[in-house]
Amino acid sequence: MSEILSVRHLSVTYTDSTPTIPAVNNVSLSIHDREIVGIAGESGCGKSTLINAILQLLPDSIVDMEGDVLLNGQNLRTLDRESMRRLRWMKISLVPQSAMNALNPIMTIEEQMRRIMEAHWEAARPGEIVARIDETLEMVNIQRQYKKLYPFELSGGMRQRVAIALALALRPDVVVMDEPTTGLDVIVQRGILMEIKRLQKQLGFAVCLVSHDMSLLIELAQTVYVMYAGRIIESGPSRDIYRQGRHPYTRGLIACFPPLQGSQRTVEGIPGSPPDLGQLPPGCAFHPRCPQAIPRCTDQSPSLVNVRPQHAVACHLHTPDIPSDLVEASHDRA
Amino acid sequence: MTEPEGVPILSLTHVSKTFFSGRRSRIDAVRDVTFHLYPHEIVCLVGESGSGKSTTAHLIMAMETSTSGTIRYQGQDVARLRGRSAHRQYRRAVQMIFQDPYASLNPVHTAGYTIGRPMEIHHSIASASQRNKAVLRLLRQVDLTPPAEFYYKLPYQLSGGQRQRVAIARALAVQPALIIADEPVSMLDVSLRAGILQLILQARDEAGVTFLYITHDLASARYIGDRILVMYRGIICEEGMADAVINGPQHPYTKALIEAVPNPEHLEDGGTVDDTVIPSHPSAPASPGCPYYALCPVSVAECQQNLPDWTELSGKHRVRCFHVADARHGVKT
Repeated sequence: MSEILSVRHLSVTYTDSTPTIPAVNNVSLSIHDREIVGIAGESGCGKSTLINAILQLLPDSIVDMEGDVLLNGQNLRTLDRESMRRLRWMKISLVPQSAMNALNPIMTIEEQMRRIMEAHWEAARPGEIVARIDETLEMVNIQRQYKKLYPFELSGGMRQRVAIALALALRPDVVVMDEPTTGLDVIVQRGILMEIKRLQKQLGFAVCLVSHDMSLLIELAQTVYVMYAGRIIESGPSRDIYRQGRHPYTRGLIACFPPLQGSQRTVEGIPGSPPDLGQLPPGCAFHPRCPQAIPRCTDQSPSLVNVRPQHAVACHLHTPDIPSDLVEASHDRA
Repeated sequence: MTEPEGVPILSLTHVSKTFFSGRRSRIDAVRDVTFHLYPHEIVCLVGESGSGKSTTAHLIMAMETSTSGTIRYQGQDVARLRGRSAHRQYRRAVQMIFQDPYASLNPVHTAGYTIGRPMEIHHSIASASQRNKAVLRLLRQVDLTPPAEFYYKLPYQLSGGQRQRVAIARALAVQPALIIADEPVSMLDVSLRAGILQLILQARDEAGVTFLYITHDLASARYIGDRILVMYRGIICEEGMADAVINGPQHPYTKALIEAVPNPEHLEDGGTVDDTVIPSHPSAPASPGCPYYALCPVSVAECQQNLPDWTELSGKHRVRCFHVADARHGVKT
């Protein structure tokens, strides 16, 4: 499998507030051809900032960015606005959070799809756009005649399908989905997830799936990255994360949904709430909520190190006793 | 019968609610629903969007009136409540927690005011200083500590989970006997849900509150519920003790609902998700029969004609499906 999207040592700091807010801190991840990669984390952990940074949607005037985002080997950070605009929807697209409310309420479905295609698909021949609209809507199980309707005339699940159709219309290589099923009930959610899987096989795109629902990510993704306070704190194949997740936060996320099968256990949840990204605690940002914190956690920030091939964790409980400043230095690109 | 022994606190008997819009459009939101809630129980009403769960809640709260059937709270017909004080008494006894804590709290009122106001309205605690003490106690009870600090917080200063805790404290403020909780955790991060479920269990165990917990999530229903009622397009199609329904679902719809829950045990190997076939959203026309007939993988002609009657199974478990009835019948003869 070849690497399609590669994020290398990406840091994003919002500079429009005092103190500045380091929302994404030295994040590296890679997404391969036809892979579904999950990013897990609670509200306020920097997931959405990461997505916006990948798509180069954050205005330079309010953020400081470091690191690289490579799409098919091309560094998106060095592109000018116009070149980036040409790539969006064609090569990389987004299903935004609460996508069902992201549609323009005063435009028909067909009109919204047509405008996006006209703006981005320069090589389209006459008639091709209309044919593509019908074809894409059909792929997401929306009958052709519904394209004449306005968003308010569709159910939440159907609007979500339209948002997915928009993202797929120009057959991008990577589709970023920010909480694509939050707010939908389980049956509709299952239908949409199945459709994403089916379309992914059919069209062969890669998916970056962002969600707070670990059970969903583990079931759907091949690789899961767990984010906390702007950092990746654990990453690995979803099987390893589920069965042998090391970080207490990962374990907490897995333990906080009750099981449907097997013996009943008490669900713990994770005490407290995620830290304010502008005022992160010293050391490991999770230590105030961590049931297993040791003295070192309060003053040294753990680095992400491999505990097995492909499985990395940033936790003092699972890393050998290396002074953290040395490990940080080796991670530094300079 | 299928319910625990004792005198029910709330009884719905053959309750139906039909909405008409225009001359031709008729929606049977609730059809012939019968169930009883017994003191200190947590009963989960489970179903997808549009199944009639919320309409059932609104009927119980007397926010809507039923088309037919009766709803009795401690023997008293809710539809026959007359006058301000009767309604007020009922509201004090039966409280509600709403789905969206971003919409259910007044944005200009502090947490303390929001929780204290019901006590004032219902005169449950007359003196202001006593009321303040009670508010602080409730804030502590729902883990908003230090309470003196949270007292003055406005909703925008609180996270979703904290807001829902304020909403729960507000419902508990007038010491209700019954709380209707309409999807109280579905808008919250998964990591915060466990805490809210724990609060509900605690309110039942310590304050003796009975809960009707409305959800589309069977996993949380199994976790929190003593009994589960599965609702589909207005009818209750299966009910029983939580474990009996989850471990031995009989109705094809309940089976589909269980299949739909994300399950990390189905680890991604490339096939599991596609193998589960669940028909998508119902657009089948209304029929006098079983509402699931059009999507049901095992439906027969009879399903469209007639609504199946209850078939009683063991484990306080019963189901409305001809197939189960036939199988039972076959075993007996």
